[in-house]
Amino acid sequence: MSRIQIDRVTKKYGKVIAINNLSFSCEDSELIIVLGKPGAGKSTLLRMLAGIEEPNEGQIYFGNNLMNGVAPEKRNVAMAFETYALYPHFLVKQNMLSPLMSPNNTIDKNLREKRIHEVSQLLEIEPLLERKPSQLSGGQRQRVSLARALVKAEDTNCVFLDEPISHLDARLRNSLRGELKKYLKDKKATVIYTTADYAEALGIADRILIIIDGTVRMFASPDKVFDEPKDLGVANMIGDPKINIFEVNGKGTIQVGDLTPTLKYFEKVQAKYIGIRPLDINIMSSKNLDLIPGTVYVTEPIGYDQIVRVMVGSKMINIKMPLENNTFAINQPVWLDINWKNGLIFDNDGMLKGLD
Amino acid sequence: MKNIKHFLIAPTLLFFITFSLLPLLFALGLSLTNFSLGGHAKWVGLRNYIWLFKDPIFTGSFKNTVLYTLIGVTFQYWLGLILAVFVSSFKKRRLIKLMILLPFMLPPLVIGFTWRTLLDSRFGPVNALLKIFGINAINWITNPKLAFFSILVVDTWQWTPFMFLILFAGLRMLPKEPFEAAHVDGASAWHSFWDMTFPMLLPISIGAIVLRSIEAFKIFDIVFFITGGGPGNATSSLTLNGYFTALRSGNMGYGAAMSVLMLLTVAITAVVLLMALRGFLAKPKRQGEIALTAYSTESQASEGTNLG
Amino acid sequence: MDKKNTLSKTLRTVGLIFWGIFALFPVYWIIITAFKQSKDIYQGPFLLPFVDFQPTIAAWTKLMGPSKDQFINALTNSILFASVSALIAVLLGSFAGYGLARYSYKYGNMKNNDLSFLIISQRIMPPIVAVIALFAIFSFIKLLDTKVGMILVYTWFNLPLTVYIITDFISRIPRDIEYAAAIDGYGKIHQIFRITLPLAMPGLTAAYLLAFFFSWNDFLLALMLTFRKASTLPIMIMNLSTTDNPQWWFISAVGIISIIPPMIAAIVLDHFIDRQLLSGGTR
Repeated sequence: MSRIQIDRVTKKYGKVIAINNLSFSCEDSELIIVLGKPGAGKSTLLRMLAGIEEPNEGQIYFGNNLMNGVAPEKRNVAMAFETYALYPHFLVKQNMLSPLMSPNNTIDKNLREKRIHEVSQLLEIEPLLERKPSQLSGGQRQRVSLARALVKAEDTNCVFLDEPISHLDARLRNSLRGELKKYLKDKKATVIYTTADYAEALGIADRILIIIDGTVRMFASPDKVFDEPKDLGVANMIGDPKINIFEVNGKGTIQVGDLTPTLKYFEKVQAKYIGIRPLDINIMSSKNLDLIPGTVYVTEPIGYDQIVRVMVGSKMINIKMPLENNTFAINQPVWLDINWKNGLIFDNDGMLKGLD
Repeated sequence: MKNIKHFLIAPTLLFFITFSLLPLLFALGLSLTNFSLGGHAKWVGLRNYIWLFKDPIFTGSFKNTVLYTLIGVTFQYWLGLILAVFVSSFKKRRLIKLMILLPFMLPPLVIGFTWRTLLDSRFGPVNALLKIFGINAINWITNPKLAFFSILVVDTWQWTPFMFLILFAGLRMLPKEPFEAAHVDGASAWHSFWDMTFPMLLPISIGAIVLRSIEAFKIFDIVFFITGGGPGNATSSLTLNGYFTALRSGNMGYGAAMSVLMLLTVAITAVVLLMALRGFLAKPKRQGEIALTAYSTESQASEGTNLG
Repeated sequence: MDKKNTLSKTLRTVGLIFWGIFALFPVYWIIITAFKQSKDIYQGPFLLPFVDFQPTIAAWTKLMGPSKDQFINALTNSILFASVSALIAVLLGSFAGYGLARYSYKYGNMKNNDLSFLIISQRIMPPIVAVIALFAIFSFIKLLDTKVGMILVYTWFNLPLTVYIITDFISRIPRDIEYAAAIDGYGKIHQIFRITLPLAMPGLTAAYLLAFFFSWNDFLLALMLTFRKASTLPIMIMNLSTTDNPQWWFISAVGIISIIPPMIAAIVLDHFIDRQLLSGGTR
């Protein structure tokens, strides 16, 4: 019996189909990340799970209990809204106390202070407890919204977090990611967490649910998602910078910009697209006719590595490589050594085929 | 419990039916009779309406009401706009604003008798002041044409603050950025007003004018008190006439017909006006709205809840 | 450039001063009239107290003396009708406002927007239309010149306004806040009383003050539907003015009293709206 189960759920708004025949289930204490671009349907999914919206078709189960038509206050869930939805007329502390003081609450009165203390320490909002939401910055408000969801995390059927740290500054986001995961794991909470940031997903999730246009494209562990993205859509979502997709022409040649290098390799393999990760390309500054020529478009150093974007004809290719000993100038002619063997092969429908 | 939404709106709808709908139907029915207080009702069909069109008192009061509305609202709008622009450039706004609003806060009846004493030809201060300038006593109230003018003045005195209030609020809500940009670009205050302020205010202006016109059409209190509709019927308004006919003379059938015609006029005019204004002023109004929304979404993003 | 600025500034100040005199003189006039005697009025206008005439409190002693009963009756009625009808109008307006802002209605072909329009359009209808019929109806069910009747009428009179303001206010409160309360474990009733109501309170207060204001200042409805028992201050003023030589000083005193409540309501309201606009609407 899974903790949460969604069975062939569809949600429409007028003519727009937000969620299309979606099914998945998750176990107790799992941390599921729903990864998708803005507008993919992540929020809609969470709102249906929380009981704020009702599906047009399909069923939602918590354990063995059918949840369709059950009001949110009876579902015993927690939620951090993407829109924060803080109570403007309550202090931050009162906002956090709210879930702990509801009528049918089972939480011990004496534990309330402890929970508030714990969560506000975690999210670094202790100095803000006596303020009102209007006196907070956007990032602070988001943390309070998250805090309100976390105070009762351990008692709920499920915690829904809708892009809970997306509006925090980079430092906070990076440091909170790990802390948040630890907190949720310690409390053994079942969590469904949405984000558009794949690095966040890879870092925190037990399993990642990838949604594109309201349908599930892949539901697997982070490793699997990263190593074996099920289709082109998924592949495009994993990785920063994005994976490079090349089209395979019929005669064993690859379309790279205007060039069509022949690769004996692909005469035997049936493929339509091949995806090369940015790490699998090397850049040579000296001319080499066996390699693919291009021009440096821009370089972006990040820490010890750098991202180099090279134009081959009209195609932009993303490469990630170490910074040391490798500096390139904009508009410098370079030659690309592509490790085709490590590529991901996709067939005509864009689905992954085996790896080589 | 799910049906609570019906209970929520039921009382309001009940009031609507009992006090608006039923009386309206009743008035319609009444207007087709010759009912008088203390008498019996007899069906007369559309006779009342035919009489109305030939009735000089009615047509006179109709003409007056229309003129009060058209002329009055025009003056009140422009004066209110000027005042709003003037006041918004001052810092000590609160007090000035209160001073301007004072006339509007007074009960109309008080306004009525105050002005009646002010305009009295024998012992009113207005004439006394004019005497200083060598102008002899003017019959503000007893001269037909002047009386009409006097009513307009009092109406403007009373209602300009209303327009001021709305337009002032509208001015306050305008974003500052376009004006700062224009100033940097070297635009003069005159240009900046006509090319930017005025168009951006159009949606609110139209709303204010419509609201005020609807109210102006109902003019009653000050006419009742200052001139009583006179001299003769020179200053009579539709509502006043209706009141006198139905209650004073007790001619309720006829009075009902009057009020029905009044309602029809307002309703038809409102519809026609809205459609016409929508067409005629569509482009500048749209420009104003576009400018407003473009700038207000920017400022909204930094406030309140995050609408991500 | 600076010259132009001072010129326009002077113009503005002068303009405002002119308007100020125009606006405030009548008020000044009525105030000093309340402290005059008969001769001060009928022998030509006297403008300055202590200079042109001797102020007396004759009007006020009369108010508290011989005319006391009539005055207290009118005053009580005015206060009663305005405050109670405004309260009911806000109450019912809140119900309707919450319904229209949060639920979807469909009666026959009419949906939320149509219902709103129906309710608000009552304001377009000239009251005289309904009042003539109401006069007949009220006299039939014996509600003429009664306190209950007037309270009901004023409630109806203000409902379109309160419904409009409150619906607008509630629809500006993000629904997610109510959902958050639901998720926190609070049922509908709790949600409304803990969240929606406090947040809508500014709107409710504004609606109340406006309703009070308009009820207090009404004349036509009182004129047509009352005679004596349920008379309000405006009616009293009218009655006093219809004699041949009205006692203006006395009428002014009554008038001044009748100015005070709506003025207080208007000032409080203005203070309120000012704060609202500044804080960018609902927080």
